Amino acid sequence: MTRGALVVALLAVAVAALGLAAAGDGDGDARAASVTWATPPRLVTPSALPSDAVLYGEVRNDGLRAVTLGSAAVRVLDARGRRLPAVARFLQAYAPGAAGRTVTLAPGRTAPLTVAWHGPGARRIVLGPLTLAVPH
Amino acid sequence: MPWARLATAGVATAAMLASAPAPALARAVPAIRTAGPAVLACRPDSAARIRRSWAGRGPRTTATRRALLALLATCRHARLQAAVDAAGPGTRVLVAPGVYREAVRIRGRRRQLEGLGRRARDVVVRGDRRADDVIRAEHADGLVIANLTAEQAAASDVHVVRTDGFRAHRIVVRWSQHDGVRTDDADHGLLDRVEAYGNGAAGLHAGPGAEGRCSGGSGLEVRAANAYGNVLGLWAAAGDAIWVHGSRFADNATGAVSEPVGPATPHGCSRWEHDSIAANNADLFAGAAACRAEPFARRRPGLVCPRVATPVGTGLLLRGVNGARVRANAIYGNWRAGVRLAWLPAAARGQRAATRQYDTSNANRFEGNRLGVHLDGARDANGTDLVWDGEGAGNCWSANGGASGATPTSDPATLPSCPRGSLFGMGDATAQALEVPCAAWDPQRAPDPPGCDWLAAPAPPP
Repeated sequence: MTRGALVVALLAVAVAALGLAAAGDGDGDARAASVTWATPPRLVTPSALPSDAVLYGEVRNDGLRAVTLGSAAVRVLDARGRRLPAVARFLQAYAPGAAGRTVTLAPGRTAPLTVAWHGPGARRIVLGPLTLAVPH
Repeated sequence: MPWARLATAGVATAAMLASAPAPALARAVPAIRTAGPAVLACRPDSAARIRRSWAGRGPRTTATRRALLALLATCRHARLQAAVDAAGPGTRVLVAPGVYREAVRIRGRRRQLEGLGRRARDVVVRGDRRADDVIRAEHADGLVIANLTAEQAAASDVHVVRTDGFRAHRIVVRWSQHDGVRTDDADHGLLDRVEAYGNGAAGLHAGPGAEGRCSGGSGLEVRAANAYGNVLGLWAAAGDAIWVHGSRFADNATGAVSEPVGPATPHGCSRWEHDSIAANNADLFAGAAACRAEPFARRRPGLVCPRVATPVGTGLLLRGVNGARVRANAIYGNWRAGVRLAWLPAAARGQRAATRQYDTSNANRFEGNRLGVHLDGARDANGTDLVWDGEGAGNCWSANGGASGATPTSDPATLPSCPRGSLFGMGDATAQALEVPCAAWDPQRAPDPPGCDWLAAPAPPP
């Protein structure tokens, strides 16, 4: 094995190890805190913005421990895993300022969640280690 | 809308004001003093400006010119701040015509800052676009600011803070990054004949602090204001005790917004009477790219860069307000909505208790307004005259007139009538959710958030 090949091999092992570690953390989080839609969410298209979508509903922590969710970490992904431009707030109506940017959910508790995105084909909403399905 | 028509609206509104009943308000608002000790501030060209303003040989013009020039001979202060500092309680600071390029701080009781020009525009206090406030009055009970112009503040042109008893009379505030006039923790105030334009947030911003009782006698009064070309003509965070009357809010992105802040449940008392709220469709968000290119200090004066998101095309927006009275106003030509009542969850005020979330948007009354009709009688439709998201109890609408005497258009199609009003409802969840994305608006990081349809004026209604 050449010196260069050895370096590449070591890097590959390191990356794989990091990946496993990250996946393990995520699985652990997911087991401990599982957030789901408490009721079926509603998907609407603003009449003036036909390329945009707004999804709103209530999420519930079905896990075993409290979880803190931040709207800045919310990602909306299409079927190929590409990220769509999106915003989110833990609100069911407009509120100015910092309201609805984060929420801490104790086990069994619910909170409103509204997510909006631009573009077609949204499939999943990712909140850190957690994933919510986008209904169609 | 032609300016001539807007001007006509202003005159007609003033006429309406003359016939309006006058509840006892502003008990502790100071009077404008016309005598007593005074300190004078002047600029090198003040004499020339006086001669230009009072040119002519008429006896009154000549007498005024001579009196002012004689007064000018006593001037010892070329800086306005120096004159303010030299003035004790009860002393008037008289400001000769000229441009004062400085920021002024006023502290202490019974200060009066008064321009000596023929018009408010003859005395200009100009910020350097870096100082937050151009005129900042703090702990200045009994303050009077009259007959001058303040402009180009990085925050507010005139900012009244922690002051009980104040009056702004016949002033012009323009081209600030945020607000023209702003009050915070200030009570017993009168904003009288304030002209506000070209401000990136509100022409007039009534912050929290006016705590008046519903029976009158205190609070904040806005009278005969003329706000145009701002993002918000008026922004009332002091939802408890503000009386806005005889004023004109036209050609802003949104005419006026009442949106109480602070942890307490708003008690109610706001009054909107005999105002003209017209043609608030200014597409100020369309030019935001130019705003992001340069910081405020380097932008050209007059470029309005929004600092707050708002539904463009709305006349009067009441969000999270209790006990408001909206009466005998002329509201027309607003392409999204004439008057809109909407829920504001208590969480927005930092209240998390589930039982409190619906503690606002209750007991508001809308009566005797003329909607979709210009003051000259011509039809000038709002997108929808009256809009309500359905949240709250005791809200009612009665005796409002639409074009040609027709019933105003509304969403929902039928609105509860006064005095009983609505039974409690949580409102239209979809309509409420559709506004949430606009909470993510930010002038730099999120100038066009997905799902937010506020930022452009709708097409004119047919």
